[in-house]
Amino acid sequence: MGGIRTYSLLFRRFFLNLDDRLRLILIALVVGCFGGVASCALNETLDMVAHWVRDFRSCWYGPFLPGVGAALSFVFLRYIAKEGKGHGVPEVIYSITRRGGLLRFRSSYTRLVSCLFTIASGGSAGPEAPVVISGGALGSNIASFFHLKERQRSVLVGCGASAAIAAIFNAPMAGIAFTLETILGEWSQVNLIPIATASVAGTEVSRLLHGDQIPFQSRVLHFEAKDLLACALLALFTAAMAVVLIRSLRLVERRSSRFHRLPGWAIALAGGILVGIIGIWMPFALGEGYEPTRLAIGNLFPEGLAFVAFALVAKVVSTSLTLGTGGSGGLFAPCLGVGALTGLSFHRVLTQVLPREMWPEGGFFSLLGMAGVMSSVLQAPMTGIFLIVEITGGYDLLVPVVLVAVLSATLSQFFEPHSVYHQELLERGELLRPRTDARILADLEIWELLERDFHKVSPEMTLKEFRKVLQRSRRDLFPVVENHTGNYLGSLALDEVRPYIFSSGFYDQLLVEEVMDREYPTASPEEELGEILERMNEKDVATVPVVMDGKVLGLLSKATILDHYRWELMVQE
Amino acid sequence: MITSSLLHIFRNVPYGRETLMQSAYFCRVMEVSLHVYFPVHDQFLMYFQNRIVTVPLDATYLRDPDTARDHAREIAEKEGISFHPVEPKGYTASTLPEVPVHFQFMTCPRVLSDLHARIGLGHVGPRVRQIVKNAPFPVLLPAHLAREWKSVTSFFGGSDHSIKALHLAAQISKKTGFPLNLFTWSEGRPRRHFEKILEEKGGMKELEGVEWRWIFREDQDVKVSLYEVPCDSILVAGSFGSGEVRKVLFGSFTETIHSVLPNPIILVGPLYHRI
Amino acid sequence: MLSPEEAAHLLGVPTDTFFRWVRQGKILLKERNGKTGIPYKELEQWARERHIHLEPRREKGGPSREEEGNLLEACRRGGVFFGVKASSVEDFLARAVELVPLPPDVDRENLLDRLLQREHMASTALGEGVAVPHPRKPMAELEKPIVSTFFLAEPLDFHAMDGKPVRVVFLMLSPSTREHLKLLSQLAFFLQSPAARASLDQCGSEEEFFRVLETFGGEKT
Repeated sequence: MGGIRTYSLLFRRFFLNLDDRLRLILIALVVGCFGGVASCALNETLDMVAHWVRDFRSCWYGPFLPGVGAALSFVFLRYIAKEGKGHGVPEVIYSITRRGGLLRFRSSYTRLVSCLFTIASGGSAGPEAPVVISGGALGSNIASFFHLKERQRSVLVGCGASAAIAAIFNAPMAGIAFTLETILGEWSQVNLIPIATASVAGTEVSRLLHGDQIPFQSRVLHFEAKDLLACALLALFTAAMAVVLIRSLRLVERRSSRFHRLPGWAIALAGGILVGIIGIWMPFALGEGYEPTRLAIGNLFPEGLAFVAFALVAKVVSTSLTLGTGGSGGLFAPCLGVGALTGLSFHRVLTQVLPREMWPEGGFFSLLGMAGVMSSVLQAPMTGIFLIVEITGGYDLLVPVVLVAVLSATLSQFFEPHSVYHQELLERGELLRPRTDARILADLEIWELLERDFHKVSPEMTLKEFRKVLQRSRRDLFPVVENHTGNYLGSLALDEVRPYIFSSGFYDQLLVEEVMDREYPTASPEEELGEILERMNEKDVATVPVVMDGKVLGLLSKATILDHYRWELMVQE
Repeated sequence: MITSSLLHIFRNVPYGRETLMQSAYFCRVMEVSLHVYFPVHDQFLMYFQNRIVTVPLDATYLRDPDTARDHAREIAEKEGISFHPVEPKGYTASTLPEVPVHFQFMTCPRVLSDLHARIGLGHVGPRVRQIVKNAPFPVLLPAHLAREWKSVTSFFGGSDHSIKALHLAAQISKKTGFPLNLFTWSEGRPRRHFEKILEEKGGMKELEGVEWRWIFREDQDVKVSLYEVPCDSILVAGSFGSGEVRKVLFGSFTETIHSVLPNPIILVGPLYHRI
Repeated sequence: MLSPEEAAHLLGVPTDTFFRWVRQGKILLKERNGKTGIPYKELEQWARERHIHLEPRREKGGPSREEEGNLLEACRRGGVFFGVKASSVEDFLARAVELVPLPPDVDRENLLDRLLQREHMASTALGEGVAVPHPRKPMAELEKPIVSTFFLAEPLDFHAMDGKPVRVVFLMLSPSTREHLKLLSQLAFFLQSPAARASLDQCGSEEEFFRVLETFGGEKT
């Protein structure tokens, strides 16, 4: 044990002496490898278990399997692993914005296990979000091992996430774009290099373990100018489909929360059984949905508009049922599945309405549909664009993909302005993107802003005596405290007493307690700065006393807040 | 100076009462406000700077929640202070509350979970170690039975760690007016050597205005001369450093103190830098 | 190598803020010989990249009182002169400028000019027989403020508001407006009490004068 400890100390010492940026890149490389391994491990196990489960699906209890899986994953997550519900991406974002990127080590595997139960048993959910949190947790813990600071640790959390996404799709650029767009929310050079490093490392690991393959493969497809018109039309469909997917998921969530008297696993069980029943008629709707997506891209999907449309609806419904009732997994893969089927349906409609025209194959529209739905649901057009570019292995499709992704994301913004990943945080008021006012205010701590050079006054003082205090003070707010206990009673604002303080008739007889304001707004050190500022604006005051346990700790003024605000802006990278 | 506060994890059993009494006494003499967390789940998290510490609690912490607040109030009132219940800052999972960490002190029994495990003197539970190691605040490990302490004892061996402990001990002595005993075992080095370190590292400055005496032992066994530590004294010691080998060694010295002395101890972790 | 506290002081931010920046990784500390801190050069570069000026923040309330605005110290520097004879304000100022101890590089004629200018704009008599002549603009060439005290042999008409002739004159020469105001406020405080004014009239020697100043000018703020 001692030996290991010494080695780890030496190892850490070596890293500590490196240049900060180089060190971060090296550690990012390590994180990338780990993220890649995690993602491959999940992928492999998922394939294996799904294969094994497939044999039971034809049995009479087949339809119950997704239910059992969802219930198991719920129980595992809630009672054994003690993790929060949901897919984990909001947790990663929250951890970066509010906790300096701290994540528990167990988060690096718990979500993988629970999503394995859900997906392998047939629940319609994606493995990407669990992989993102597990990559992020690995990054966070590796950063803590090297004693990195919050900022660097947050970058490494992003590194883990990007490596995981890159490894799962064998698409490094998509991993980078996803992290910058969704997780970190800023494109800065300081972040970019380590994240790109990790992403490439993750991809390389997955190529090593998996071979240079990709869940989706596509030939180079050709298109003409008139097809772009069709693409614009497709964007309408994908935007609509994205909104439908988000809304139906939310609907199921709301409905199932009405049964709060039932244990959570029972709800998950019920949702899973419904998914299983859908699966009887439409097996394509089960699982993470890579298979139908692959078929759609490769033009191998069964013909017929009705069938494709049915598959599409079934996929949306089963995804909502799985995730809305408590199954574990993400939305990334279902988005791709829904997108591919949307594109395919669009192609079928197009060929039926205008059969004379020469249209590109269904795979072309499937790819575009994937980019469209994904960029709408995640509000991350760059991720969608890069993913498709990397699937097709070239930039031939760049123009239509950008067209559909950007148009679709913009259109859906009218109905669903925020990414599904951010929605939850937004509802909690915790979506603090970098370089925003809320983020800076959240960073500042009341202790730093506290001004302790203030004068307390006693309620029994006359204004004449108060003038002496005033003479010595630089402030225009005076907390009034009780004589023997030192408890805060109210505040004396200079502006309020100005009329009396200069007329001798008044100042001899007026007492402080007669002119002080007992309702004067105060702040507590446990409050958020944003709330305090709002209160100051509302009451139109520039300074408030900070009171804890009835004692005045100091004053908080807008002038000081401005000083600190500027410093925060200055020290941002 | 900032109004300081102390975090106490409430345990509604007689042993918990002894610890709360010690917290309350500490709060009174140090003029620190007492913040009590009443657990409702069998685990909680503490988000420290560099690590999340998961603290599992045994069933005794959750016992009889209806009387918990009344019991706590009774004990606090006996000391003539009031207590503030601590609300979790958030929930990582629905049964996993996050206890805030912005306090200046924390009271922690030597073993947090497993009441029936070794309550031998020297044993300090792994979670408690983790807290000490990661917390920016010193941790008070109470004695088994509450007793009002009237002096402060610290140990000075020349390391940065013991300077930190000395700093805190001096602060406590200044605040409470209780005298400070400073123990040093020479281990063959002359007294000048330690005086020089004290001077260089600002130890002397810390001790200005403190009523203190230096108990300097040249050639005695540590365990034997620990008998000289007054029984009504609170110990302040540096602890379990993570890092250099010397700190590891020093950690074992701290364990010796643990195993020999039944007094309450304040452990100063590696991340503590000032009050 | 600067300690975190020193670095925070140089940046002009509270130590709490500096430690948070360290925790957040916005500024990186180094560990050398068991001490954590940041080399001056690195801090300088860090600050330059972010357009932050490295200069210690003045403690709120300005430099400490010992350094600035101590009336007694300034009076000791300026000296006390008894039985000064003058027929008019101009005549008095000319004599005073000859008497006041100044560094050799200060141009006395120029000073007299500036004193006269100020006197022409408005009388510097405070009333109650006291006047405080001073130049129109602060004397940047001085390092420390100088207050010379003159007890006049004959009361002199200084065109005071209350019409009383002046018996004591404080010639105030300060390097900055800020210090001038500080001294002036202290002098005003001193002259507020009738007892102080009475004992001022009784002063017969330098030592006595300083003692009176010490007794009644007790509050230095």
